[in-house]
Amino acid sequence: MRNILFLFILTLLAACSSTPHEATVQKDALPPLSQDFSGVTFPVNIAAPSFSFCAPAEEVELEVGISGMDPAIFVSADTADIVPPLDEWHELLNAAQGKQIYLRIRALEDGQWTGYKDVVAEVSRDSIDSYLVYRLVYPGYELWGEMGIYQRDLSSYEETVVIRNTDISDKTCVNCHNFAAGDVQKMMMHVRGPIGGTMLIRGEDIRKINPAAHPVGGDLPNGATYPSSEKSGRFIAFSSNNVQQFFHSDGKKLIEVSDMASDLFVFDTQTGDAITSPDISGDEWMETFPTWSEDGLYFCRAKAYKEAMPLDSIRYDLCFVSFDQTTLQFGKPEVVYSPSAEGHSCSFPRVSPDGRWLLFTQSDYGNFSIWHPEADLYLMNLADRSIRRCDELNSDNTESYHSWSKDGRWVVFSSRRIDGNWTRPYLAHFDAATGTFGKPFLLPQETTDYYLQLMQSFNVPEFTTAPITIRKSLLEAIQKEE
Amino acid sequence: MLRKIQLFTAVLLWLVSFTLYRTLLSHVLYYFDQHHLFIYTRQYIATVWRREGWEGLATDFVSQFFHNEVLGAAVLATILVLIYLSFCSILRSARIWCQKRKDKADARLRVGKVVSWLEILQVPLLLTLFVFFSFTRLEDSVSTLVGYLGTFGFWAVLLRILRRKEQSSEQPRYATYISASVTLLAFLFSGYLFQKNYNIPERIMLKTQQYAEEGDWDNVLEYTSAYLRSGHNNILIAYYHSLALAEKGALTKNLNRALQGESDPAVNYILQMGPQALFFPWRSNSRESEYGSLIYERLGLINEAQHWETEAMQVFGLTAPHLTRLAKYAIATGRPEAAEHFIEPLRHTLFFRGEAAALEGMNAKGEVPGLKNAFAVASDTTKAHFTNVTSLSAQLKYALACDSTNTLAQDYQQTCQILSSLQQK
Repeated sequence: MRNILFLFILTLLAACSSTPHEATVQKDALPPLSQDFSGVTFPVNIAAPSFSFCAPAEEVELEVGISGMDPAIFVSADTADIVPPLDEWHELLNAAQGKQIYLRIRALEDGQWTGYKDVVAEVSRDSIDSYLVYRLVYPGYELWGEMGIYQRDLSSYEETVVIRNTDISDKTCVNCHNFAAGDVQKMMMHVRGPIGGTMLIRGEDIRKINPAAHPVGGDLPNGATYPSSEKSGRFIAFSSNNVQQFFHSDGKKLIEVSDMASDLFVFDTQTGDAITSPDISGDEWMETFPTWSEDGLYFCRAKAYKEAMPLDSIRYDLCFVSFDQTTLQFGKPEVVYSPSAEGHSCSFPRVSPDGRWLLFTQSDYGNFSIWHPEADLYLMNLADRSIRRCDELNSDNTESYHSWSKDGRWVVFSSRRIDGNWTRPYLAHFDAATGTFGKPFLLPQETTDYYLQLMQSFNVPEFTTAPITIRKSLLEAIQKEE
Repeated sequence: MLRKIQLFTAVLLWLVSFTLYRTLLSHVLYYFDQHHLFIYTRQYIATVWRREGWEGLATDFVSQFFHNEVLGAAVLATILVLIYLSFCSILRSARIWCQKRKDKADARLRVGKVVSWLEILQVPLLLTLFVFFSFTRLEDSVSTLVGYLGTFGFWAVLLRILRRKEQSSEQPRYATYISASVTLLAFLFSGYLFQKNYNIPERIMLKTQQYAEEGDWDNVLEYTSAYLRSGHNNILIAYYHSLALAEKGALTKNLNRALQGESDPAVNYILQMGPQALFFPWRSNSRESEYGSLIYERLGLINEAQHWETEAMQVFGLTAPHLTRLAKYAIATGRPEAAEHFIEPLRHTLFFRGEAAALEGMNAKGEVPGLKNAFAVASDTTKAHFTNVTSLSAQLKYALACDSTNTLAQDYQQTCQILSSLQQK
């Protein structure tokens, strides 16, 4: 009996420890993989991507190594789920900083081992921020069931809950998480619903506030909506929007989210004042999506909505208004870029941490670009205000929300390029010297079918430099009566 | 002999509950089939486990069998019988354990007598009938059933293992008579209670919904007419009634007849309610979101149908009806990748794989049999058109401008005009 057991274990071990096969057929083509990694730049600390082989084959072998060297990783897998082991992947990336790596695929096709051209990718010396915080929500309309804000360790596959609406009440909406320079100690988020408010987190101090409660310099009837935290954490710029949803009767666009009114203000976390001025909170314009630069705010501005105005005639220009952090005074707004003159509209301006670049989204009209398949990312060089379309990032489908890493070397952006309906986060390297991005790649997941199975969209992806660990106290603060 | 009565009770319980779930309670199975879906993927299981725990998983798992009415009824009947037998087994084990003591003064022996009477008086049957009645109300989830089964089953098995081969002593003959009488009375009283508490309106609504989804407009008319003519009023029933009439090309005709004095309580209610008896104006009502898409689907207003269906999926989660409809709408509006994504979960189910394969075929062809897009022929692509979510008439006007041959839209438009003018008067 023991002998049989011993033989059985030996057979099992032999089956598990497969060795690479020689390719008997070599194809002069890249392997048909579910994701295109050719020319992608990986951060040195990113988790290994999983992918599948998209052609009929019985078995697939993957070798990964530094270009010009022997493979460091060998994986034998079925065609559906090819994932390099995480520890070996990190070892390899550490050794490959500033170099190229190859992914070599062989597939057992019709009984023959077939080789393909190596997929060559870059490994950057630049680390990416350690966490990505996002909201998972059905790509929806007005009602909602379960939604939550989650954080993902980018060097592993671990996803943890920051907060879920079901922890509070399913009638609650949690949204618009925002950080001062990726610092989780200086965070804010909105909670909508019966016990709603804006949660202001400053280390251990968690408060529920109404940022628009004490306006100075103008009226703010629409509360606080889209935030942007200034890097010291003292100021948070908000737009104050009356947002409505509309539904397309026909065509491939489904939803239009439009402002009926909007203004800007800066919330001073030290005094609780909501500072605005008639130039950015009057009736003539709608101002939205503020973002900080060293000396003020960039934002989007359109002519104010009037009764029966066609929604597809509302177009936003990119503007700037200075803000003196000592005197707490705004300057006069100026138009920096006017896409409306050419029948376009901009949204989501984000200034790079070094203050030299501004990444924004441009679509045909409106400001809620996630529902616009034509929406693309554009980059402005703030030194000379020259603009170019980021073709290296864009696709035939929607590119919309985006965020810079703390050092400005990486961006994460939302794209619906896979199916046009669900938003997925893509990461790309940025070369500040040339103002160009590397080829983007989808946030790696442990299983290949992760995105195929996931019915929720990634909403507002934001980098952070550490995990958020205040879930319990945040929940208590939310549930606390004011 | 008592065990024989228990076995006979189990068989009777199974037969009665199976018959009821196949007939008078078949709508309960339909309801759960419409609201739960078990997906055989790691991701789904992890998500439901994290969100709802084992109860959520068990509910979805059991509910998947309700898609097949015979199998569903058999599964439910079996669960009830297992609850009953588990409780019987627990009592038997407890009695044996208590009766091991020979000292008559021992308290355990007295407990054993009480347990013995619980068996004789068929308390397990009474509890099972209570569970059965609980489950006839829709607000009680399948998880209640599974929870009872899990709890009783666990203890029954554990105690059975502990008592090993020890046998119980025979019960006295009078116990058999008492037990048989209690069983008979319990079933009779349950029959009376069932008849008294049977929720006919709930059944009519669910059966109407089922027939409407299946496109069986004759049956929809039969159920809704009976409901409205019985003096009950319900906006959902009126919605289905008007839709069935329109599908039969008789909506305007019947309305005009009623206006000319031919009294029909079913149509009178529509006249009384005005245009809101025809459709659900969008008012962010999560309950209504479940029903609103059908009229738009039939009219070919696919974007609006998609709007309602997406809202419903947000509220009720991933269920087969929502996924199927959303996949169809995505195909009809030329979004094959999105359709593929909606089909994917159905591929990993036990009973909807065939549906998934059929949808894949439709997606490959780019058309859904029986589903037309009112704007496919001619729509103004030079500017964006937005739905007036509170006015059906405004939506129909644009649909008819794009396709004047849309007969269902014509019928509804004429009806809207009649009802609006009546309201103005």
